[in-house]
Amino acid sequence: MDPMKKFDPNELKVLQAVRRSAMDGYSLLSTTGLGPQDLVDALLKLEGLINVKGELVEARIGEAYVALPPSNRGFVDMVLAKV
Amino acid sequence: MAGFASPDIPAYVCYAIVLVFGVVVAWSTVNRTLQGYPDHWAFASTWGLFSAYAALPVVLFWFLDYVEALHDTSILAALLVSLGYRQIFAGSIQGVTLPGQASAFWKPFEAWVSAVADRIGTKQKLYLDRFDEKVRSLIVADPTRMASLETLVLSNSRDVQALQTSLQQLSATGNAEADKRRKLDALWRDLRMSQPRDYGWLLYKRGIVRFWRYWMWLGNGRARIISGVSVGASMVALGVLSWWMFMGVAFREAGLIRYHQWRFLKPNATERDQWRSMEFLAKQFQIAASETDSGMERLRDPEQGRHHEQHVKLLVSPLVRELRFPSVGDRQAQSILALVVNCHAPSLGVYVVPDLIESLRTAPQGVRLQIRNALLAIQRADYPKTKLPDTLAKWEPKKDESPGDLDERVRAGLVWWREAEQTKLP
Repeated sequence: MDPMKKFDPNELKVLQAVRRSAMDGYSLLSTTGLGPQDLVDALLKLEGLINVKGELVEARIGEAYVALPPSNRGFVDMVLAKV
Repeated sequence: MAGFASPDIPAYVCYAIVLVFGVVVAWSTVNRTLQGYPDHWAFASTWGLFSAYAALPVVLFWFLDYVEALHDTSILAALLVSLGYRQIFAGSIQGVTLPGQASAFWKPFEAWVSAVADRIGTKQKLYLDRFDEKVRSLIVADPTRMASLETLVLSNSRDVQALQTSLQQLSATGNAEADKRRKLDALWRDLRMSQPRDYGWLLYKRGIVRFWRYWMWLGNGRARIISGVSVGASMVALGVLSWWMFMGVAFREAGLIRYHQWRFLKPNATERDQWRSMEFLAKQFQIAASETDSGMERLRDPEQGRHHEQHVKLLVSPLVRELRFPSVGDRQAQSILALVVNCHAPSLGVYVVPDLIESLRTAPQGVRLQIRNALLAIQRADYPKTKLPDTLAKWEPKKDESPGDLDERVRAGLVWWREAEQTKLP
């Protein structure tokens, strides 16, 4: 995890949502207000930082389950604190 | 830390303190670690993690005592370990340092935490998928439920126009079942998008799913059942322990004897701790002797006699046999022999003297001298009519005595014992 990495607004929305709680794709779409394709793109960019169970394709993104592993919580807190 | 001034209390109280505080700390640690995972208590792996967190300070406390970093009878050490074991692993508590690579143990533990979190994520997705699949198969097989779902979705959709358009655009496949499935998929997706959190509750309110199904899969039901079962199992375990402590007198007595023998023989026990055990064991020796003396009639019952014999053997043998250990320390040997001599009684001789004589074979030179002196003291007190043979009485143990020499002394001692046993004082 690169501490200097810049996160775009969509990625930050996803991080803020999963920092509060793990959730399914439908809840994530509703919480972040992103469209399915934007969410897929954001999740692809966040690979390695967050944990995604399910397929990362637009048609099935709602059924995915997205969580922030406990080991990455500190890094995400640092990223969100800078926003 | 071993020399740290602290009230010295029985070790079992310290271990209980570590366990109780460890459970509280484990509870909060698991909640904090898995805070991002809803219903995390619904998974057996969470309870496994909780048990490991609760047991960890107890094991660490024992280990730190074993390596003499602290005493397991120190109340302050117990509190320090139970509340600050993570800092001890990190090496940030002065005076309490783990030897060697022991602190590296924390890394696999953290990896395990990540694995548990990952497993919970996988399981939660699996449960959501199973709920979806089950409900959808119920709806597709029942026209009433299908109609009810359509009403529910149309009344909750965020974009009714778009939904209606997509429903109209569904092209017929020529297979009624497939058409029904495609319509259901469109309705289901819209419901999940429009009501991502409350869709289960809405399905229940419309009568499309039963309450138990909703409660079990989406409404904390599993978490409550598994938590209830786990708490229930803990209560049963506590109940059994309490029964053992307060009702099973024989078990408790045997447990206490073993506990005090452990403390008494422990090389790095504090003086106060050893004194406590010495007092307890001396009392037990006296009780055993008086029971043997006063209850001869009663003990003629073979069953009771056997039970009494086992009890006295359990009390005496582990202590006296420790003298045979080649590296037995002078302090330990002195304590054991002081206990044996101070609590001598003719009725206990049969359990003590043969083992003492046998211990002459392997004990170090200084300990052999102490054993000989103890045998002389016991002979003078309980068997004054039969003197120890000079081979033993005037023997000055030397460093390089051959096994043959020692065997001769032991045989002389056993011959004396056979005679002495017949002439013991009443």
